[in-house]
Order: sequence, then C-alpha cells, then structure tokens
Amino acid sequence: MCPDSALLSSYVDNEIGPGAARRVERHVGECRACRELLRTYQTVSHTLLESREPDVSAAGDRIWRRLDSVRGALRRQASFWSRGVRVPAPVAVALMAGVTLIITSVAMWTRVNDARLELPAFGAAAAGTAATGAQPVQWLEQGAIVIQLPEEPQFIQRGKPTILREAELSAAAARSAVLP
Amino acid sequence: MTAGLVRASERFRRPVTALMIVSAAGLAGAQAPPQSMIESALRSVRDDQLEIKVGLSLTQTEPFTNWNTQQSELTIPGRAVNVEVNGSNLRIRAVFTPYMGEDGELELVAQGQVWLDDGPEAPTRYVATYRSVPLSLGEKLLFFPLGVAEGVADEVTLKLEVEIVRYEPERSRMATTGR
Repeated sequence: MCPDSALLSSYVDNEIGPGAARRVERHVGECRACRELLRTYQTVSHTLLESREPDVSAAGDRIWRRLDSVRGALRRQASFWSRGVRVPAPVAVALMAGVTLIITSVAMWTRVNDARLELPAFGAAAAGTAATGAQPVQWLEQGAIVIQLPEEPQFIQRGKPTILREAELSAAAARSAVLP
Repeated sequence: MTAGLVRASERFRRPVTALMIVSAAGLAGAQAPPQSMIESALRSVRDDQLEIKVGLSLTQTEPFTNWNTQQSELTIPGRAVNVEVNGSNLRIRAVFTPYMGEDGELELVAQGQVWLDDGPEAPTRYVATYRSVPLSLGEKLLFFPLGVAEGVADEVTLKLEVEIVRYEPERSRMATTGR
C-alpha cells in the first residue's frame, strides 16, 4: 500500500521520524509511482531553496528620492513669517520675561518724563515763568477780582442795575428808569 | 509624514506667538498713560484761554471825581469770573461767564447783584440783574450797578466795563516787559 502524498512531502522536508523514514525508503524502492512522486517533490523543494530573493534596492531608492522631493517642496512653501523656530522652553520663557521687562522699563521712563513735562503757567505765563501740571487746577479754583472803592462817596441807587453792550448805551440812557 | 512636519512647525511657532502677544500688550499699556492724557487736556484748556478785562470807573460831578481801575483775569469758556466791588455803603458782586459756541461766537452770561445801605434806619437794599449777551471778542459790555443816570445833578456813576479777548501769552509778556 502506497503512503499518502503528505507523508512523502514530509519525508522530503525531513519532518518525519527515522522509523517512518525507513519505511518510506523501503516502499519507494519497490514502487515506481511513489518514486516518481518523491522525485517531483525533491525537485520542487530544491528549486525553492535555490531561488534568490528579488532585488528591491532600486525601488527603495525611488521611494527615498520621492520623500526628499516632498520635504524640499514643503520647505520652499514655508514663508519667512510662518517659519517655525526651534527654541527650548526655558530660553523662550527667559526671552519673554526680558522683553516684558524692557517694555515695562520704557513705559515707566515715559511716564516719569511726562510727569516732569512743564506747562506754561496759566496765571504767570505773561511773566515768562513755567509751572507744573498742578498749577492749572489751582488756577481753575480761583477766579475772583476784588476791587475796593474809595471811601468818600456815599452811593445812591439811581436806577435799575443795567447790563448792556457799549453800542446800546445811548439808547439805554434815554429810557433809564429811576427806582421809586 | 507631511502631517507630522506641519504639527512640529506649529509647536515651535507657539512661543514666538506668545512673545508677540506679550509685547503687544506691553506696548498698549505704555502708549496710554493717564498722566499724558491729563496733560493733553490741560494743554487744550490752555489754548482756549480768554482774558477778561474788567475796568471800573467812578465819576462824580460834585465834587468832581474820576476814579478808575482795571484788572484782568484769565478764564476758559464755561468758567465764571467773579468780580467783587466793595464801597463805603455798597457791595457789588458780578459774575461773568463766557461761552464759546460751535461757530466760534462768544456768548457772555452776566449776573449782577447789588447790596446798598441807605442809612442806619433803612434796610439794606438788594437789586439784581441778569443778561445773556452775544458778544464779539474785543467788544465791551457795560454794567451799571446803580443804574444809568447820566445827566442827573451831583450824580455818582459807577460803571463796570467788561472786555473779552483771546489770551495771547506773547502779547501779555511784551506788555509786562514794556517792549
């Protein structure tokens, strides 16, 4: 009785034990059909073991060239303003703190100079003096003219108190009313 | 791969963006100091200054007396100038408030109050007047606190002349130094 083809294939691949191998060899020596099948299996196995792996290095080169071209295109597309800068986090924080300090110093310096800015005095401008910003506020709170009349005359109310433009004076004098 | 490069670029851009925001905030704070705003407003007030010249004349026919005085006060549109006149039996208080319209026309609001003692027996007399007058710069406004009584014998005429001009520091300085 002939062994099945799976046992023959296992024999070719050295996958069966020595007892089974001896039985297969004994049978193949007597059975021409099995001997032919075994030879076929051995030829296939030998061909598979002898065959070389395909050369994929050319394809790899093509892939890397393609990747390089994509990377170059991305680099060209990035403009100056959108280009990223690789800065370590501590350096970035220190840089920001420094810039903030400079801006604050400039602002403080500007305010101090503004406070020192001298304005011409409101009341004393005619005398060519200068005043700081506090004086106009004092000036706004003042604003009174006080006139002391001579003591001699005794005043008598001659008519109604009248306010008029200079041009209206003559007409007003004509119709001035005397208080009762 | 492409997506990875974009993500990396965004990650490195964040510190720079934050730096720019901090700088912009700092600059915004530095450009609007309240002190400068106040002084800018004060400069504007100074540029609108008006000079109110107040002249007081006292004339008497018997005996003939002619007494004059003139004072001036600086003000701005909307700020009143008080004038107080004190005599032997008289007290006058006048308030002049100039207003400048949008068209540059001047409006002077004048208020006058008079207290007069007619003698120890009589009560103190009080009279008041009020007028709003459109006035040109340099034009005179007259205030007769005792009434307009020209032509009356032994009259005592008291007259306040008010003139408003735009304040020019250079002219005032020259007048002060006599040049």
